[in-house]
Amino acid sequence: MGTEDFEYLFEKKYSELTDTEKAQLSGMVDSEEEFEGMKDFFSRMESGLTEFTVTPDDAVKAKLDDVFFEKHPKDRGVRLWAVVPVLFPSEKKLWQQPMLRIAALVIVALLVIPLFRIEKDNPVQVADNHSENTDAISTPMEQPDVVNSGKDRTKVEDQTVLRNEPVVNTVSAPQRMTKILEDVPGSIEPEMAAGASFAFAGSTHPDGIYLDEVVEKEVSQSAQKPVSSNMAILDLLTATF
Amino acid sequence: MKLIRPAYNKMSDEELFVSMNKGDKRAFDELYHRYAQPLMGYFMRMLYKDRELAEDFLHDIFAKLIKKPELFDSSRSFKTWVYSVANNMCKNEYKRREVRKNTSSGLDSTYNVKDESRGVLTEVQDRQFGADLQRSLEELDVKHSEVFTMRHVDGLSIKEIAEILQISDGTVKSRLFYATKYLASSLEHYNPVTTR
Repeated sequence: MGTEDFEYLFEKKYSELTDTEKAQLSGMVDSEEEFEGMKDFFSRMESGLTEFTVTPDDAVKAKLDDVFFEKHPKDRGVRLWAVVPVLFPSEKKLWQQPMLRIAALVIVALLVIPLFRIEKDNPVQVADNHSENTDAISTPMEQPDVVNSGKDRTKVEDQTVLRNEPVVNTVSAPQRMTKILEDVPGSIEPEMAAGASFAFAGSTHPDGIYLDEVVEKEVSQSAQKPVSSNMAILDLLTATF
Repeated sequence: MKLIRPAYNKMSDEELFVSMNKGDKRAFDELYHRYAQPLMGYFMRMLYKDRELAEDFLHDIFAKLIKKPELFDSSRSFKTWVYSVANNMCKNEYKRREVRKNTSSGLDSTYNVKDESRGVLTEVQDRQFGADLQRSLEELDVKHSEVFTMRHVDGLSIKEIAEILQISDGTVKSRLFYATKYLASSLEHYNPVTTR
């Protein structure tokens, strides 16, 4: 029985078949009519068999997924590439891709934010430069504020700069105080002047702050006399503050 | 962690199988997508149109793929191997039951009409032809019907069928020739040429 690859023969016309090919089909088709009938059968069979398919139930896949995750438990979590279809959906055009839009927003933000920073940073920078020069002339009243946060410090220093802007003085506070006391002729008791001088001379702090008990005692003793007895001291206070 | 998703639909069955056994769930999904329907159809035909049994067999064959990947002979093509496994499963079922066929008749309710744009008459004729073809196939013995369905329904080549059934190419052709002749004669009444 000639059965070698007989199917392709039905793609030909009966008149095109050679004697060998006809011999191959003998037993199946022996005439042109039977040949055409068989061709019709093949074409019907193609459409008849492809008319229906059997689709398994989704439950089968769900069960198999469980089997898969039992075998490979680490893969139950979300993989990074699982996000890719969301960020780069193939059905959208390039400029509509969500990831590209996010990237564009980030770039714009990175370009714009530094502009705002530069505007804010400039005054602070000026204040910092001035504060280096004005540290020596800060008053004890201002000192506690300076201890606060950097921002507050900047603020305080800024105010100090505005207040003391015209003053360019390299003389330290104790020296100035001693000089003022000496300049007031006979207006102050010698002990008081000496005490004050001692107080300032004993201070190592540039602003003359000295918290030693002995110095405070001496100063308080010198100041026990009423101010009314010597009005010139008020001028000294005015000069100080 | 992979950054770029591979193009699974372009991967070969064998590549998918390797990826699947490394834990790639998408590879498994693609493999299932390719073979679930053909294998389901195969089991339906071979197992007396018993849908429940066919689904059980489909589950079992994929579970084997997942649990025992070492069973796959990498020297063979995945397609022929998986059909060989399916064929052996059916043979075992035959042995177990010692019953061959006809537990149900007529078209299965789950058959889906694919092309709805076609004429109703043609559709009915095709469905009727398909039903009669199924009936005629069931009348054939298994060795002839399985070759015919593998060739024309599953689209396997003669060489692949030979490999799956572990018979020679010549035997496949011979069985195919016989099955075709038998079916053509049993469905002769559909032939407008011969029925004139």
